[in-house]
Amino acid sequence: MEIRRIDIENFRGIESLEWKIPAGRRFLALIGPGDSTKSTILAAIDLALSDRWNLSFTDTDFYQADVTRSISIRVTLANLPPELRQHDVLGLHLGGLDANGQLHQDPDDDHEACVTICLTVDGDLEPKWTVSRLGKGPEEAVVSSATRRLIGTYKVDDRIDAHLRWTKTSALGRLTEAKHGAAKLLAEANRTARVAVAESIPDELEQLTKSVQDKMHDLGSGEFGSLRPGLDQSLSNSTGNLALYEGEVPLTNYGLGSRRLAGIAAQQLAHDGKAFLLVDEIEYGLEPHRLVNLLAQLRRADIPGQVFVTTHSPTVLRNLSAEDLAVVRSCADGRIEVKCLTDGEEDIQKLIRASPEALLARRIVIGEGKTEYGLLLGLLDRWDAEAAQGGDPVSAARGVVAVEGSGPQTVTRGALLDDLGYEVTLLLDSDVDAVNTKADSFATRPRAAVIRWRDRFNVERALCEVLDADGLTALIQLGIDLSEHPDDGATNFLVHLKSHGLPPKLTDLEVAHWVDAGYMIGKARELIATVASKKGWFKQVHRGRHLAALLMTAPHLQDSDELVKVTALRSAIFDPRTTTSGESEGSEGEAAQ
Amino acid sequence: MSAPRLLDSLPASVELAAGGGKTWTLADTVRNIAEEGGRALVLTHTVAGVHAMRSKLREFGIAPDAYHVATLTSFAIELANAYSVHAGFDVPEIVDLSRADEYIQGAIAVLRRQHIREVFALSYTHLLVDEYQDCSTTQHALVQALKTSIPQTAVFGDRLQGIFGFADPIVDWAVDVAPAFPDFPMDQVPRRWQGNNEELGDWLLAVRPRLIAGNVLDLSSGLPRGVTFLTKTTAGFELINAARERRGDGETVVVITAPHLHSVRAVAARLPGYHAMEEMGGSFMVSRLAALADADLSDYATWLVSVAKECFTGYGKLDKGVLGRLAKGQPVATLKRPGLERTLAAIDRVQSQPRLATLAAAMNEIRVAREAHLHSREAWGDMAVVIEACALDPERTMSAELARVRERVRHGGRRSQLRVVSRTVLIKGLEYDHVIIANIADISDACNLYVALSRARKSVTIIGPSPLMTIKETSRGRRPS
Repeated sequence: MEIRRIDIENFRGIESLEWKIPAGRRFLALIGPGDSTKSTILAAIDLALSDRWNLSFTDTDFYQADVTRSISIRVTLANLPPELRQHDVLGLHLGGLDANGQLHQDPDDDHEACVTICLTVDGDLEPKWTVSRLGKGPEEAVVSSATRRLIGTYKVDDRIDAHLRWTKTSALGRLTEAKHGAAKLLAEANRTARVAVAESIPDELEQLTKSVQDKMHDLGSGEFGSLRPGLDQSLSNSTGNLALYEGEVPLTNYGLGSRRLAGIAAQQLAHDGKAFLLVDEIEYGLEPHRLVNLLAQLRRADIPGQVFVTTHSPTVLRNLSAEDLAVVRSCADGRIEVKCLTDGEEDIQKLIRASPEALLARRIVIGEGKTEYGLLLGLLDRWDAEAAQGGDPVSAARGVVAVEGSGPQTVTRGALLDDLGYEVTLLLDSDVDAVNTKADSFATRPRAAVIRWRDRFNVERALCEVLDADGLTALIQLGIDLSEHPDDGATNFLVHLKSHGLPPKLTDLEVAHWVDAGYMIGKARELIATVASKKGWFKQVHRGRHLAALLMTAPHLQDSDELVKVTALRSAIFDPRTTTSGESEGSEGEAAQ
Repeated sequence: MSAPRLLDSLPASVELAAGGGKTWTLADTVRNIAEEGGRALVLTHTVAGVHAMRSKLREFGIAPDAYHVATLTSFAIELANAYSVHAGFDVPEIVDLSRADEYIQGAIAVLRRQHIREVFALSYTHLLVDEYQDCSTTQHALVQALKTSIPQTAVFGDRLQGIFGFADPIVDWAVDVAPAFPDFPMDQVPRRWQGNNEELGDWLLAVRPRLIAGNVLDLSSGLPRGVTFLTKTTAGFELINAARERRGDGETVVVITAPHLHSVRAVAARLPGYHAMEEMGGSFMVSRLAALADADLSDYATWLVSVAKECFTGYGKLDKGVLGRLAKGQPVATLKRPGLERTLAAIDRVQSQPRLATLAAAMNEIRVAREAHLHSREAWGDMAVVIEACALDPERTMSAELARVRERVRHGGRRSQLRVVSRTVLIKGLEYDHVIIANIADISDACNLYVALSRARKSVTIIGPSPLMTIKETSRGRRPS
């Protein structure tokens, strides 16, 4: 079974959302900047498909707390299992889903049969679950809790501890019920447990616990040697006092990551892996190695369920492929856009590996090469320091991430990210005509910004242009200091400069001396920039980073074209753009029910 | 014993004689399906049939999730309603049963779609259809469409009970049914007569093969205990005497008349203590209520008198004198009509206050006054209920309200009456202790005759012009050419 479409109206931060999910996406990581309502989407799926019947809603669950516009969450399921397609379950409420993800009232032979579960909440705050079909009334059929239970949805959230106890609604309870019929077994276990805790556990529960332990090992939830059911004295009620213990320690005392993994293990067993698993911030509480293992387990092709996670972790992204990703973005009009990435976009795949951070940002600044990226980082250091002093939000707070470009392909990469809805700023050299043309065309996109030096200039040339003789000397010295063999640096650099046209009579690296000897400062700028670029003095990120200080203190920066460019760059990074929303911050991580 | 073998021989048709425990056999088949972990879709023709089937399945203790029982029509409506685009039309909120054939066509269109066929293939392992001899050719097409999803299909019926009250063409067992559903022979056990009159049961089984058009049935000799032939006379006292015969306590009697619409009321009027059975549609009530709906208020009293004369025996004194006064708007209670005082008073109340509420009250008053014999109790009572409901809520129409009342009868069954006058088509599937055939010449075709004879548990009284009778062909309705 797969979720193939999600439509949401007026739920929390979402005024409207229409997300068509291509067939065959078994694992989907929702990514996007902080206020993009990723967690809200997960919560919406959970509420719409949950078999709980006592969900309580509050006014704040409505978009802008406006209860006159009712909440509607519609989740369209395809590839339906036989249990749901029964005549008296949902067999007479099937809709059709065409190749374009459009819904039809009745399923034609070239459609996929689907069913849309619709959760509506009016001002009376009473949730109603119905089947929604195009062209049919809203009250076509009620979807009972028992039917929703056949769907099987499980969200890993704050209530995780509850699932590590044997209760009617917990994953462990359901697992037991599916295998042995829980009520009787639990009553028996609880009754005898009161008499003698350790000896009282029925064989069936012991064995079940063993299979949970094995599954937890698969998922990488630590090493457990003697997992067993034990009496949980932290609860005073009569049911659910049987919980998972490792030796003498209840699993609820373990770290959050282990507990979340144990919960996932129990639920996968309970639903035979067929369910929908929703994990908010999958990286939460897990070291990278456990995280990587968990991702590998959840993406296994042999598990029939579908997994939705949210993440802010570059580690997660590095271990996923492009088609695992869905980019969530909130638009100015309250609309939420979700775009599924497709495999085969090789450049995106490279970008994910190289700069996963970019996909987690709202605004991305790409430096064309290592030098430009380094310069960008150096500039951000300075500007963030100034912003912090002035009490303004730093670049990170604005969702800005600087990443390294891919040389001539940088513009293409920028366009891909722009297509996905990111605000992209490119910092480019202007020494390749073909790239200039592409860059200028990209710059006409409404969301995009391109900063490129004046024609024929690269970053080294631009910097030299605003330096005086002493500054140029300092630049050469910086190059030597940052080179791999600073001790021989002076000799080597002189050789390089001479081979590029420095007159033989000049014997040191003091540019002031060159000028005194009649070598024009303009020629010096040209020469140093050329050699610095060709010999790659600053073609490493940490080297490029040092250029920022030289640039920003350069004596001729004032009134220069370079200052115009730098100012434009700063504005592209820090100033809000009119094309996207800057509102409704801070709704991330909203607590689930 | 035979059921598991039937399940191994599907698709198949099973022909069981009347009284042979067809419901029992069906339920037993469902039990076998359930025991093997299967699930059965059971379709039949009438709501009464659905109720009978469900109660038998409950009695057998079969888990309710192992079967689904519905009428062919309600199943078709459910399907056409669920998938109206595929069906090509929207089923109206108030279903029009006269368009049942259209609904079934719609359901067949729905079942042409792969995804819907899958639903039924996934939902049921077996399809069982009862009373198959009554299937219209359209219903037969629906069953065949379902069979593509549920190949394990068994149909049950008895071609000798193939009579019907509607115009749609009916399946021909040999032409339509047998090729699709090969005959599965089953032992005929005359269950209905066990402990009642086994001789009668054996005789009916022996007579069955002789009920072929052109054959001559000889009732002059060789009749078993309980079967009597009486020669019909012009005066018809033999019918009245037979009807008046003393029967055991609580024993039921049915007088079977000619198959046409008005015969029942005419015969019931002559038989004190007997009640006329109305058909489900209630055409008599439909026409009388339609007349009332069109009548002026000043005509209400006249309407009451004329309908009372149709439903009661003994209102001969509600004559021209009474009707003449009503036409002039004068009271009738001042007329000398000994023994009809309460009736006349009720008529006058309608005359002076011509409202539906008064009319309904007058009808109830006339019924409880018992100043004449109410032979059409079902019609009189239902019409009073309809008029009362329309009096309370002027928004309601007579026809819709009557449909509602008759729908209740369809679902809840009729009030049981010990002595009934009816027609074969209305009593199919029912049984009575004693059967009196008012004139065998009226039902001389094979199917009507067999249904009439086989309703009896204990005795059959056959009245006719001659004990020698040539069996005629039963009409099969219009077949598409």
